[in-house]
Amino acid sequence: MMEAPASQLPGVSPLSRARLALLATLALFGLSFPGQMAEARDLRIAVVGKGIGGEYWSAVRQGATREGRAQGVKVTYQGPPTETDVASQIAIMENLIQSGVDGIAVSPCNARSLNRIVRKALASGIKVVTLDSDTSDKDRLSYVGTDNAAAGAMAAQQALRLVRPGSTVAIVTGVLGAQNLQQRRDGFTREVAGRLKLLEAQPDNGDKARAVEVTENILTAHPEVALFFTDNAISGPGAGQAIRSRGKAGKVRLVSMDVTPDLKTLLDQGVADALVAQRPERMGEMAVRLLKDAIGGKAVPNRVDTGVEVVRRK
Amino acid sequence: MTTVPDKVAEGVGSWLQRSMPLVALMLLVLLFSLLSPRFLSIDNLANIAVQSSHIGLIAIGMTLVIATGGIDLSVGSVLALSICVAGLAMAPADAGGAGLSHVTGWCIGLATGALAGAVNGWLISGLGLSPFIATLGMMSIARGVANVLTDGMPVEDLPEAALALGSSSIAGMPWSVLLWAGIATLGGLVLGWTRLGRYACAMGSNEEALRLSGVRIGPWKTALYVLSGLLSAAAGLIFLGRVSNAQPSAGVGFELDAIAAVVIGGASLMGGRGSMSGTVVGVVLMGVLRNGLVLMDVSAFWQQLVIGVVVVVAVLLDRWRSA
Repeated sequence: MMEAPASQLPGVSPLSRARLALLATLALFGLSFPGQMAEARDLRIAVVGKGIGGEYWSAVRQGATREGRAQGVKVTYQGPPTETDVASQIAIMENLIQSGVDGIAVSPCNARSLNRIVRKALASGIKVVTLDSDTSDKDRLSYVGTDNAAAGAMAAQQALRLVRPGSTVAIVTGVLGAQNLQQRRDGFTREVAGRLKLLEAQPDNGDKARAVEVTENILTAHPEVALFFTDNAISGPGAGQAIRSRGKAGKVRLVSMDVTPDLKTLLDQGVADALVAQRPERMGEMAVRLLKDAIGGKAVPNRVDTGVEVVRRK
Repeated sequence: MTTVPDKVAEGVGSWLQRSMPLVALMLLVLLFSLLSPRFLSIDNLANIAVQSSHIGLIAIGMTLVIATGGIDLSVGSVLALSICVAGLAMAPADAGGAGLSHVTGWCIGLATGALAGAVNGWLISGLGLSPFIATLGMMSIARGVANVLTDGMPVEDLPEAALALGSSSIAGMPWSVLLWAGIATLGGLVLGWTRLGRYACAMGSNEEALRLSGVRIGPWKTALYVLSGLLSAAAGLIFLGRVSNAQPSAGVGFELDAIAAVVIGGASLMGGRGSMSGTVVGVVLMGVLRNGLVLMDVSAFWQQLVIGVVVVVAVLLDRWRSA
């Protein structure tokens, strides 16, 4: 391994970028036939999530990949290392624009920060839809995701069913700036207004360990809390874990957005009482389908509601 | 007896040792340009430079601090605090800000970063805390203050001029890249040619010897942490333009990117050694990796893996080099 660089030293001095480019061109010439034919045939679509770990984004990725195979489109999944890392998400978008993909489905880490780069992608001829949450300017072709206010209201109806009127309810949320979470909380708040007492929403910044801490702190500071509403798939398991370890399972109720394997376990164990399921797999699937249509010149709807369903313990 | 070929081999060998990060970068650039026809375009190279610039600035300060055998884990949080304070200073009054001019806001942001750095320096050289502990504390404190000041919400509606450093260009050159190039050059001069730089390396190799030679270490060390805080804030001003608002959650994990770049660049975490050009190469190398892997349609999981491997290999090379 040490031999190779030494033999190339004279050629790869810092000043000979032109020579490097020449080398690259020559090599490309040699590779060009299979490579370019593949490029002409395969449409390339990138799905950019808010994160890369976790069951939720895995479901989005699987839905998108499966639909890609069905449609004969090459789908790759990208995402920033953490859900608050907007700069990395913008960098990924820039790199995708450079790579000349045909379509991008993006779930903005921050509704406003992504406006400019979405416009840039559209301006360079790339079809862009938002997925799971939208940009604030909404100047993408389409938004594919949950009607979040309706989902929040649906969760609120479950809460009203589970606790007595006038009970205190705590909300654990992901990131405070995220528009989709904001809409869910608003939907929830509107529905329970005057019927339940709400504590101020506490963020965990998309970190499950932090969600555990936040929930423990609320349980300590507000022993009267009768129910937790968690508005995403990371806060839910965190809150559930804290409720269980405090021995409050069944006494303090838990209504969470999303259905993931760990939330299902919490439901089976009697820690969670109702889950309002989004359909991340369907979001991935629909986003790829819409992008394929848009690339093919078809008109696409401005919004696609992927719906929710309530899952309760049997 | 040394023969001429021996001497040449020795010369090449030592050049190779010093330039290992650059050679690695060149090989990577060659590889990506072979694999993606779009990699070596001017647009794309500019793109990589802009994307790397904020970590580039942070890594300059980190190089100085690591040369002393210290570390600054608070850079990402200090970045967030600085832009939140700057954002609140610049945002219009009806958006909860003070409505000051963008230049005033920038200066307030830079002062915030420098102040946080000064506190780090005082904790370390005044109270004798280890740099790891002191800056770990500051990492949480600065983040907490940023969240308290902004109530955890991004500061929006900043004037367009406030975003200029991260979003606009002069004569075709992005401001962010110019700033990075200029400050990296200055940083190189400081490290190699000033008393501050020499003392930094001396603290890292043998602090006691430096003390015994009559140097008052405290103020010099504090100055280095102030620089690190100041550069984090400067990186924040670029970041602000990139994301259009001041988010208290900004910069999580930036310390790790910066440390990785410094180590790839050939500095030793034990101190005593650091190279500003090496750090720049380290930052560019990580930027090239992230860009090239996306251009090749490599999915996110593999990118994490590859970047991790590069950091480990860099440290192994470092050991081999210093052995």
